Amino acid sequence: MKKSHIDAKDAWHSSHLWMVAIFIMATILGLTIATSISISILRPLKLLDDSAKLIAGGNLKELLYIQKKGEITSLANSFNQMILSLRHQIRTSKTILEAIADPIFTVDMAMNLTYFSPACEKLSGYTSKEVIGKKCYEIFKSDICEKQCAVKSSAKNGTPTYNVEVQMKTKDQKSIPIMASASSIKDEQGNIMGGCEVFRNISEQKRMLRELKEAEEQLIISEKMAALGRLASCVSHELRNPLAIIQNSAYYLKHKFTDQDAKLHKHLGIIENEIISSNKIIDELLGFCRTTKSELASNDINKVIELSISRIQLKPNITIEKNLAPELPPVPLDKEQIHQVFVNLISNAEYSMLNNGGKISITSRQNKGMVEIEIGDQGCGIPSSDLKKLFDPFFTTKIKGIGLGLAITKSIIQNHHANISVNSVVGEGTSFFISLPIAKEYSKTVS
Amino acid sequence: MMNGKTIKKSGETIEKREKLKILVVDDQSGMRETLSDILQDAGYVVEAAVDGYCAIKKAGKQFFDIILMDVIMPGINGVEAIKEIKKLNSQTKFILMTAYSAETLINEAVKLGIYQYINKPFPPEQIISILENINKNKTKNDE
Repeated sequence: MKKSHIDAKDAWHSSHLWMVAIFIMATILGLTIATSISISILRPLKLLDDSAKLIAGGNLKELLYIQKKGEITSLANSFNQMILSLRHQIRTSKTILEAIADPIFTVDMAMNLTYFSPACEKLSGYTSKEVIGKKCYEIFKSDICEKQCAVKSSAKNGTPTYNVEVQMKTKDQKSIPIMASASSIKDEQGNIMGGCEVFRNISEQKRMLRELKEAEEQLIISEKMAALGRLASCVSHELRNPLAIIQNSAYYLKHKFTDQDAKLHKHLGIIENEIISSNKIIDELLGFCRTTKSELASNDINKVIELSISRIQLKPNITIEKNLAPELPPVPLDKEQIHQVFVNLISNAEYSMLNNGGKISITSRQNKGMVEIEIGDQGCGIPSSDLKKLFDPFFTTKIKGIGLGLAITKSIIQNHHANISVNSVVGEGTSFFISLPIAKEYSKTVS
Repeated sequence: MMNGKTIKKSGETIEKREKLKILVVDDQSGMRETLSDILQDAGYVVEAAVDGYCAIKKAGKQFFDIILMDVIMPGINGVEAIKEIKKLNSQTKFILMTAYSAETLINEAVKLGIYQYINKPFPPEQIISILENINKNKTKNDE
């Protein structure tokens, strides 16, 4: 009995042990399966989840690597394909943006810069690192940033804004005219997320337009002058015949009535003097017509200055002071025309000092491949309002004069590819500056 | 330069000057009239022609010592007229008068051997002075 009791006890004990063993084994098996599931499914899923989060945050640097083959691996591969595709698209977009010569930037809703293209960096002088995250209006300081922001405007209206002409400032505070177009950036639901602006530096176009306008104005003036020249030439010549006849008649009467009334002779004298004055005007008009062509030959400018001085009879209260630089290089010029220029300028200088007298200073010098001549006086000076009109035909402040002297002067100077400018202070005097290019064969050695 | 003394006063006779015959050719009647009067009073024998054709016709009929010729005229110009008259008489001296910048014509006339050219308007003293010089030379040659 005792033995059977022991056997039963042993059997129970034995079965109990088996149960424990089975439980342990089941637990181990469960754990093994769970671990296996965790390794093969959950971990890759976690990796996929992490990767998706990184992609959502804009990080496409990492690809997924899953050793085991299976459904998850296939999913990971698809995920990697998506990353590579996104990388490609982003690279393509970036290449496109960088290939565009016009600067482009994007901003978020707070106007913080989120993208700054290389062309933007080049034009503005800022690097992308310097400006990303900063307010675009603080960077560009455009004249209409506050009132008429192109990005805000397009965001507000929901339509792009094209070709708004504004001024922006570069890093070194240089103001540049730009033509800007902007568009809002929207999400899938159509909510505005920010804006994109593309603009173009139009400095060169502006300069070309300005030059074109100037050339056009110059052409109109030239055409007017040419027409005026033809008219002046025709009228001048036609007037010479009647003037010659009047002069002959006055001469005849003057000599026929030798012992007659003194007043008769006075008036005949007036007629003769006025004929001389009229003829001078005609000469001036014809001189103006003749300035269209210049025959340039290398000449010593100092000799032309000396010649002009020798031909002018100045009033006794006016003197000339010469400061002529020796051994100036030859200048290609039309001797007679440049002589006329000097005579005009010296005569004007004399006229400005008629009342009080004074000194006319004539200076020649060489400066940067040019020969400069300065003719200055101590006369009444020219009001600034008159300075702009000074070279216009028929502008004059003289009592007797038709205002062609300086127009002729400018025309001659232009024919010589030279420059003329004036500086004047009312009550102190006026200085004219002429810059003539040095003859080519000498310009290399003097530059 | 001549002055008022060269003008013939009424009653006076200037012998040698009357030897010179002058033809004034100008389409402007005022020019013909005034120059003719001045030169006649200065003692010259003066005739006038209204254009180049008329001048050629007159020069064909009689000899002129000097012809004062305008350049631009209706019909043929003064230089063409000079060419024709030179064929008739090579001794005539020509003084060209011009109110225009007719440089090409003037150059052509200079090549033809004109005595002088003057621009209008000119002081009458100038033309009288030129004529006096021609007269002096002619008198010397005659002697």
